[in-house]
Amino acid sequence: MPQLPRTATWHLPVADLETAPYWEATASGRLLIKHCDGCGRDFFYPRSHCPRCWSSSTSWKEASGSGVVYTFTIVRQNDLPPFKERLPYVVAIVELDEGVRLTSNIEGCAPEDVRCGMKVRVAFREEARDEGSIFLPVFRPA
Amino acid sequence: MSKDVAVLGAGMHPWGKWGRNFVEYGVHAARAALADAGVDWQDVQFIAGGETVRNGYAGYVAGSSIAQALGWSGARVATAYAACASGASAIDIARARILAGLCDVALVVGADTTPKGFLAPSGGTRTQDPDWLRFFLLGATNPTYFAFYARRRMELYGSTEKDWAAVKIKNARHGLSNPNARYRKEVTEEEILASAMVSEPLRLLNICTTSDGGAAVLLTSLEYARKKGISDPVKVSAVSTVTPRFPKTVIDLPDIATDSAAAAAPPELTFRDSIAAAAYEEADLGPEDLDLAEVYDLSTALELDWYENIGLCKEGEAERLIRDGDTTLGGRIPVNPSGGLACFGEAVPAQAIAQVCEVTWQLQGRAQGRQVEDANVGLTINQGLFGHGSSVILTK
Repeated sequence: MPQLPRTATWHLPVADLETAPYWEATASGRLLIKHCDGCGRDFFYPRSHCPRCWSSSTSWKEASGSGVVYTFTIVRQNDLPPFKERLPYVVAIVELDEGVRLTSNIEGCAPEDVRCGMKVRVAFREEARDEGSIFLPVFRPA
Repeated sequence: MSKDVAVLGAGMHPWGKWGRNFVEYGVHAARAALADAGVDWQDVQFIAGGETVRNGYAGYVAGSSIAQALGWSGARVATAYAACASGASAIDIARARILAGLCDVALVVGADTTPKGFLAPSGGTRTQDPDWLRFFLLGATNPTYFAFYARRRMELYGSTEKDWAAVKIKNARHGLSNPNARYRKEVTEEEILASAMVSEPLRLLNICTTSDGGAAVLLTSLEYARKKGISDPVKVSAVSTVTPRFPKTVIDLPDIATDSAAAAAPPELTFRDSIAAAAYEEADLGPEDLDLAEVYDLSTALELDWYENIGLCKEGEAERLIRDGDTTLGGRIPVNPSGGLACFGEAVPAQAIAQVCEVTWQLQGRAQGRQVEDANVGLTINQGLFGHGSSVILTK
């Protein structure tokens, strides 16, 4: 990846009590989703209660990190920094083996080679800013 | 008790890139709607505004900003924000007050002044706002999401660029004679297929632009309309503003994550399906009753999704509808006779109201140059960010 410009307008997500374990895990190369101990369902994004049964008995669950591309686009126009310098790049919806879907980037292959249904595996891209850094889950061909 | 309210007047400020204060467009549209209804501003008991988030504090309180410009009158006021569904939310509030017997005459207005280019994230640094994160961490612009849906149509149903071009060509023709449309020019398949790739597979001419504009409707109780001597007004018979259901498995703008369908089957209807279904249920009508529809063609491919969402055809059959001319003026069920967002561009808080203006004029037989014959029932539908969406059914 090219070095990203450090701009005052582009900050990192701030971890709070609910999301700190998620960002701590990505920094150590693990992708977490939430599991409801009450009704047994997985859910995402992380929150402290189950959106289905409202149980507050929820736990973190390590995702396998593998999934498939559900849909994607090759972005060819975006004036917002730092993405203008990254063009073209791929934004995709990835469906994890656990069933949850997330919006992410596909890296590690030519944008033209991405396909729906393509098997992908999570990787973690460091995003460094003046205030520190985080590791963002992105996906690469499996 | 009837759940209907009357649309006594409709008015718009032409869409364009005028660069003036949004209040000016709102006032223009409001005065046009009042004149259309033959009702004085002093007789309006309630004004509802659609909020614009790109015009400072005056935009956050759009209802009162426009009321002040019209002249303080002591009317009650509210401002609604529901992203692209803001105008319909304002209509819903006005309708509820009328049906509750709290007022007889309500004015609903939406207006916007938009910056150049794609809609950018709204100002400020909000690192826990999904809308902010998708823009700044993932580079996911609005067209990115339109492209997600278009790619799914390609994968599932073999949708092609030529199908999407057919949508644009149709809407461009529909809008030719609409005095409020920003673009009134035919476009060819060659021009569309040669336009710049923005977010693959969508090109520039597949994506709607952003516009300035204003729209207003004057709603009244049926009794008030009768007293004015109007016994058969166009009526609002349903306003749907439903939210999604768990597990929501479709990623909608600006979602960056969604529930799993692995342990719980997704609802029978997708979110977009459910917006229309709730409107049909409320109006006690179905897709077979429609004479026309105004759907939110943020992209040409998205218009095809809406055909299925509102029940004009089964999933995967929308391409056949556009190819066969079913949704063209003169066809079985004309869609976007106004020209749609393809000819207007999006003026967010005004757009859902503009859809209602068009259907009103169609049902009144006043849509010159784009009239749907014998139009008695029309539906509008759109989807906004964060689980907002709306559908309005109008009847004669």
